[in-house]
Amino acid sequence: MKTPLLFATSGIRGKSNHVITPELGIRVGRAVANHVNTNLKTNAAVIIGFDNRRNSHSIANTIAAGLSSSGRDVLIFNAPIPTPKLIFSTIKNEAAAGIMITGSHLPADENGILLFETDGRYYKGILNEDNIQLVNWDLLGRITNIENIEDNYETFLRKIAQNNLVDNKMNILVDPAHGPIKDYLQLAIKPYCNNILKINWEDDDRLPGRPSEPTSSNLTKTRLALTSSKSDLAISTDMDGDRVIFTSHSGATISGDYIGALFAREYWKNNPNKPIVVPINTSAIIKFTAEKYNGKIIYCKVGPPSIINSILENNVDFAFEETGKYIFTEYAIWPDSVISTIKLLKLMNESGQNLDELLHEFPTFYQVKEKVPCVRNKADEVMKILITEIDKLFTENKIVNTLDGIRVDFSNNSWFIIRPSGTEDYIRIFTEHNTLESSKELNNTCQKMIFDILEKITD
Amino acid sequence: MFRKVDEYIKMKTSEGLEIFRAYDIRGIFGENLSVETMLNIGRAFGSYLIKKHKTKITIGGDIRASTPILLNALISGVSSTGIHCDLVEKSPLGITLFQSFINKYDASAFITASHLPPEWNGVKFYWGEGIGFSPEENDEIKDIFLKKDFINKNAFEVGQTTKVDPYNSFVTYLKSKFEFKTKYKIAIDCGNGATSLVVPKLYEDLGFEVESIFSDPDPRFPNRSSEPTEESLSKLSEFMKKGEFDFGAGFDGDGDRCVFIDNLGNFVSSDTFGILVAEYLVKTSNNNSILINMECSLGMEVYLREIGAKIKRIRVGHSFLSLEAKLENAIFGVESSGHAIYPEVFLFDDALILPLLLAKAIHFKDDTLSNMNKNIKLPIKRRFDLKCNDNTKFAKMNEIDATLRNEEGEILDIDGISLKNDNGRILVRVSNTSPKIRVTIEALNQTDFEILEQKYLPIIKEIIGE
Repeated sequence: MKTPLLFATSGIRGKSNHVITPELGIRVGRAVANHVNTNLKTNAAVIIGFDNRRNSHSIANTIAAGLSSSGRDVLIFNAPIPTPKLIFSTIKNEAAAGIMITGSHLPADENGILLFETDGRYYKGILNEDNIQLVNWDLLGRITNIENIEDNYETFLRKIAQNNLVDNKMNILVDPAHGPIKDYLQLAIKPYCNNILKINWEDDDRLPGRPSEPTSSNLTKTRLALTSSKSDLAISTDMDGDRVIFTSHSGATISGDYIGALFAREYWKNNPNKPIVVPINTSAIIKFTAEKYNGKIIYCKVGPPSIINSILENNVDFAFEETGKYIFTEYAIWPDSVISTIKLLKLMNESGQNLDELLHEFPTFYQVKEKVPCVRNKADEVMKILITEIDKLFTENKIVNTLDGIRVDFSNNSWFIIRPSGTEDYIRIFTEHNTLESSKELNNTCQKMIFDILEKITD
Repeated sequence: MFRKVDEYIKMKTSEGLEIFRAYDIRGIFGENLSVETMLNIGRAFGSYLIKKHKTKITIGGDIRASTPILLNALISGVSSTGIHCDLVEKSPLGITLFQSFINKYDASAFITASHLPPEWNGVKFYWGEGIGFSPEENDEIKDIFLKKDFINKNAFEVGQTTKVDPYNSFVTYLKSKFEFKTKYKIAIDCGNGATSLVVPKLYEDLGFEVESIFSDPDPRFPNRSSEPTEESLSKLSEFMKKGEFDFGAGFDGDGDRCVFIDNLGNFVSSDTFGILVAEYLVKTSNNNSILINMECSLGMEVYLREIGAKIKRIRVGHSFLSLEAKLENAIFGVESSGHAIYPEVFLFDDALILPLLLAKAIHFKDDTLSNMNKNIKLPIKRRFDLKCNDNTKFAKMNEIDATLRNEEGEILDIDGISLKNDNGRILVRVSNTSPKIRVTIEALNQTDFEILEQKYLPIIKEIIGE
């Protein structure tokens, strides 16, 4: 029995050449052809892009073969590209779908497949493999290489970047995690820079400089390079360039929640009472900001597919995710590290403030992330029981939100969320509080609740 | 138009055996050859190479409609085993093989079904210097394929693929090997096959004046069968009758066979071509070793011995041509099917160089090709392809062998069995590529031909049970 083609919040992921194999590529190609044949009345091609991980091009080729064998035309990039460029090209070319083969922020020996609809939405769910049809040799889909020059993602970025005059040019350290986003970043930030310094720049899928995920703990070397070069800012993306994390001149790596809150604050200053979208696991900093600047927050389920759906449903201008994904719908429906960087540089330029100064008014909230092992079929039962247990245990004033897992907010801006993982056998517990100790204490309380329930169920 | 996938999978259960043949893998796309099959062929080929400590190869393919997706599957399979590939994408066979030859890579694979109809496709394997995989080597790949005994590498050990275009270095190399003082005017019929990708440019780059027909790549092969024969080259013949050309050349689908038409539009048999080129090479070098396969005319032996050539008959099959040429240090090797090799340039049977050799031979004789063609009188030769089941053809062949050995005459059993007597020669071989037994009869005159035909053909047919 084959594992179903489940596209989770971040597509299909796994070990390169063991889970993400050429066979899987053929299956995905055929299932996507089946999906678009069934759901869309278009003969448009499917666009395929791939990053610079070793087997990405090979997987892209097998997906192309799968699509073609079901009669669907394919446009495939010639060379590695970042994910935002694939989404841009999918929308611009009105492709039947877009497929990106990227390990994104995953460890170097893993890879993944993302699927996008014509309008740039992430496909989430199981791709149906029933009734797949194959064509004879004379009806095979045409596979055409796209030269990088043919589409104008570059022009699009250049237009956004050169919108404003730049008064105070900066020295900026760019850290693209050895991925294909680097050339686009360089092109976009040029108007803002005296000097561009580079780290983790070489095209090397072993990711010798750092893991692709731009978390604070992975950016030690970047911070060192920033402070020793006395740069004004460090820009650290994951290798496919949908997420970006910034480090200020003082060497403080700022979480995505705080940068998101900063962008939201600037938005609300000019657009009071307008809503933005954030996933349910977002820090209380956004609540703090919304209260102070008359903003509205629409919570959605965790992960880019839900964020983008919510953006389209609610017609909002801005959304973000704590991982470093920011969406400015004025320009794009997708998270784009280059656009986000331009927005921050513009803000720094216009305000004349450095990043630390821009964030000065935000209080610090302390986050603790833990997970409890729990097989997936038990997790649902645990979550059901949790609802009543939470009510019993936390008697104070609280707001309970069950949109995606259970989030409980207390009046002092502390909160927790408990969610079963979509891809692994864990229940995740995420707490936030005004001090690290109280955040840990809250997290421990939640863990104990889950262990107690698990014990009861097992008995 | 569409085929349900379950129906397709049902067909696949018997897949795998009949597509593996002695010298290559061939099947009908969508019937017994699929993307999945080619992926596993790639895994088997790659695993075989890894076990032999090989690391780098070239992969290319012809212009068939199913070639791009089969190429994608083959490359993915090969690289999953850790083999690195240069990818030529579309090219005639010779240009893909050239990439491995000139860079001293370990091997090459080429997606093609040669001269077969458009729904067919397959793959051929060659060692780096250009010798085709032997039936035994192909058998080892088949075993790995059937047992699924594949090597599967971890992320960082997966092979990497680089797209390349060897055309310019191919032309430069040929220029270093062939120099022409006369600007010949030639007509080329590509039959809409893979040679269309480089014709007429290639011959113009090499100093010819060229006109070409059917030189747009078209996987339907709409204008003629992609097998170059006297019949399929009739349009080229007509075209030649304008009398403006020094000679005409017609290629098969992947460019490993070439057949010629003289300046008056007459067909030039591959045996005649072989004699003309062999004569030029023997007389202008100090190497007189010529290889001809068992199907080649008795007349070749007569003509070439007269000019002092040392002749060796070899088994039919392009792998043997290359292999024997290397072992014998031969200057030229030819098959009556239109394959030929000139090891001074490279060991593989790239037909793109055959017009260059013929031009050299014409220049050497300082005559027209029609005169040269007319002056060579070859015995009457005809081949009879008799249907015979793949499972029984070898047993039947043994019976035929025993029968012919009882006859008076000279027996040669390099490939099948050949009996030469006062009337002429009869050669009986099992086809390596199809369920057939091939009988070739050759005689100096019609009477002798009929004697041989009437005596032996019925006996053979009876044994086969036709």
